[in-house]
Amino acid sequence: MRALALALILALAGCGGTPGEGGNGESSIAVNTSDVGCIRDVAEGFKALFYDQGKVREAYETFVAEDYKQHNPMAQDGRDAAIAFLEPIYEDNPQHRMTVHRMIVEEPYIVVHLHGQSSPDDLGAAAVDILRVEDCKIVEHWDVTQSVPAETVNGNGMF
Amino acid sequence: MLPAKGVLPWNPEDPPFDPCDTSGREMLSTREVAERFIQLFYVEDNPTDAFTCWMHPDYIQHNPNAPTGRDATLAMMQASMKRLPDLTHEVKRVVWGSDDLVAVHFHFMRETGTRGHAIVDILRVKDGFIVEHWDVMQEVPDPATCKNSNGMF
Repeated sequence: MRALALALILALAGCGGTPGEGGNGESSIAVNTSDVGCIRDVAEGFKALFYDQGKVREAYETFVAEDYKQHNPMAQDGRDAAIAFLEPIYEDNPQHRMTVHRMIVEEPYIVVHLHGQSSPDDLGAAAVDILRVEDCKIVEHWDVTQSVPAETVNGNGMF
Repeated sequence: MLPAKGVLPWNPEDPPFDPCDTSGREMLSTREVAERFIQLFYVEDNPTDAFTCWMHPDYIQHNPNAPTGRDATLAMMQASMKRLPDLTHEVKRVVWGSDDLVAVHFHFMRETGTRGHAIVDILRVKDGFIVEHWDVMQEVPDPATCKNSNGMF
């Protein structure tokens, strides 16, 4: 149930972050070398502030356009709606954490494959966020979220 | 199934490559391997050729419900397609990394007329083979329950 609850939180939030935790040495960023401009800076900056540090307001106000388009079916359009939803999650649960496992960056998209957990021993949920960047701001967001099962057929884990 | 026009950077009705030509595979880039796999697997709904041509026999499977390795996964998919002959994969967008990873965002429908699932596949390519696969899938909800009118894609 906790995994499901987290999946719901992720689904509602669209994406997530963690205060002071998450992010690790396994993360890799594959950046298309033909990219110019700021998308790499946006990817690295948003990862650090939002996913790794859980600084919701700072991350969104720095990197997300006010009128960004939301495709998560349980969230409303716009930056302020996302901040209003996400901030209480972090305030209510300081153990809430996100671990970014891999990123793929190619104009105009940033793909983030992450593991969200409500506590360190929570099975949590796997998610992929896709962010579209225009004029150095995140202007559109899609995501897919799935609970992590206790056991898998192949034993490899979801990440 | 055929994706909307412009989703793929080639004409999926007449691709400028033979999607199952594996000669010189080690010379192909990550993107070239992924293009051929995408054409076969998602556009043509042909897992047999897609897997036979491009999946490494020992590829690492991270889908929690599928076995690891090419032949075991292919057998599972062939059984699904026999049971569900109208099963389709509609690519919505592809993000091509410069390195070894490619992400495919697609709409998976087991049966015509159902809402289906949103899925992101992440493929890792090495030496002309897909050697590792991760995915995340979520049911597409009833639009009446959605907080925005943008759809999941």
